[in-house]
Amino acid sequence: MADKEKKLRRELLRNKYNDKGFDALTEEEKLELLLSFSCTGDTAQLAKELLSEYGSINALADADTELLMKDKKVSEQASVLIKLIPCLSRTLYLERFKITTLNSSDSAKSFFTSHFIGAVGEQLIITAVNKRFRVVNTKVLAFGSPSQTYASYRDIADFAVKSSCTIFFMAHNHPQGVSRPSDSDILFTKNVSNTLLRLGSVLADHIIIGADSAFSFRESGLIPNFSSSTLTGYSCK
Amino acid sequence: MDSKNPHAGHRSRMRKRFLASGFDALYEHELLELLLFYARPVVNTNNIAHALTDEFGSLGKALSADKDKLCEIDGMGSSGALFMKLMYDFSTSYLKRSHSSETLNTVKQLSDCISEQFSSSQAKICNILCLSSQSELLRSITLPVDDITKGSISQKELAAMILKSGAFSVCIGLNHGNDLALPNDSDFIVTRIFAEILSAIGISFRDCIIYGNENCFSMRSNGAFSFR
Repeated sequence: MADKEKKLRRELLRNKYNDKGFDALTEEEKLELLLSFSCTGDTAQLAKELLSEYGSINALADADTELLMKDKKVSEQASVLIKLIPCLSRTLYLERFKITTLNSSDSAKSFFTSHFIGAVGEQLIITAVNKRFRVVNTKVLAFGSPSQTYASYRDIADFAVKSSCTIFFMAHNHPQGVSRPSDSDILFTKNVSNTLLRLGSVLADHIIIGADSAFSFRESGLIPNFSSSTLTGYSCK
Repeated sequence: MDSKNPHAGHRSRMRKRFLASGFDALYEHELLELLLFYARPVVNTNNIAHALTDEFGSLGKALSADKDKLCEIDGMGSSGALFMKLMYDFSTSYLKRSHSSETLNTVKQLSDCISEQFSSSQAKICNILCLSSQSELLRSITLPVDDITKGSISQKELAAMILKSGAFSVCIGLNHGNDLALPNDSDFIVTRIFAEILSAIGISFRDCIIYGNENCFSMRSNGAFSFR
C-alpha cells in the first residue's frame, strides 16, 4: 500500500473513531487503529493476521509477550502497547473498586480478583493485614506454569516472621480455569495454616481466582483448622 | 526514527522494564509516561505525564477524563487526547468480557456446532473448537487432516495455536463428508496426536466428533477412545 494511501486510511480511521466512537469500529479496525500508534508498516494487514491467530483483541492482550514477540511482525513497541491494555484495565478497576479492608470473604475475593486482572500464568501471593483486616502489604511468592505453582513454606514463614502482622491471606489464580481447588491446593492450604499457627499467626483465608469465579477456602469448610475456630472480624457466607 | 530520537535509549529501557516485570514494576506516573510514548513519539513525555497527574490526580482519572480537558494540557494536543480516549475504551472493553458466544456444554451442542462447520464441505478437514472454562466457544481452527497426520504442522505449532486461544478445553471435529460417521484409522491417529499434545500442555480433551452424511458420532459417548 502506497504511503499516501496509508496516511489517508489512518486519517479516515481516526476520524471514524472520533466521530462515531469505539463501538462503531469493527474488531479489525480497532486493532488497526491501535497498531497505527506503534508502527508505520502495513497495520491493516498486521491487524488482520493477528486477529486470525488470536481470535480477538482481548485474547491478544492476554497473550504471553514472549510468545507474541516471536512473530517477527510484532515489534517490542507494539507488544508493550498491547500489554498496556490489561494493565490499564487493572488501574481503572482499582480506582473504581478500591478495597483496602478484607473483613469478609466477599471483599477478599474482590481484592484478589482485581490483583490478578491481566495476569499471565499462575501466581501465588500472600497478603498481610492488621488486626482490623486492613491490607498492609502483599508479596508475590511464586509464578507457575499452568499445572503447578511452587512456593516453599520457607518463603511463607520468612514473610510471616518479617511482618509485624499476625493475620495473613493467600491467593492464587487459575487464569483460564475454574476456581475449584485441586487436591494439592487443599493440602498446601492445610500445611500453610499449620505453619502460620506455629509462628503465632493465622491464615485468614486462601482465595482462588478463576476466569469467572472466586473460591474461598474458609467458606468451603475443607480445612479443619478453619472450621474448628471462627476468626473474629472476618465474616464468611 | 529511533536512532535519531534522543529519548530512544530511555524509552527502550522503560519498555524492557515493563515487559520484564509487568505493571507492578512501574510507578503510575512512569506508566503514564510509557503510555504517552505512543501518543507523542518524539518529545520527552515525562513533563506531560506530570502535567496530567497534576491536573487529574491519577493515571486512572487521566484516562477517564473528558477529551476536551485532555487537549488543554500542554503537549497533549488533539492527537494525544484521541489516543488516551482510545486506550480508555480498550481497557473498559477488556474488563467487559462478552459472554455472548455460544456455550457448548452438551454433546448435542458440540455436535450441532461441528455439523454447522462441515455441512457444505467434502474436504477431509479437522476443526478444533477451543473452549473456555465455561464451555464458551473462544475460537475455531480449521486444518486439513493430512497436515496433522503427515506432520506438516508440527506438534509445537498446534500447541501454540491452542494456547494462543486461551482455551481451557478442546473438542475436535473430523469431517467424513458423505461417508459414514464412524471412526477410521486416520481418525484414531489424529485423536491420539491431540490427546498427547493436550495432556502435555494441561488442557482437557473434551471429545472427538466425527461428522459424516449429516450424522455425528461422539467418540467419548461411544467409548471409542479414553479421554482422561
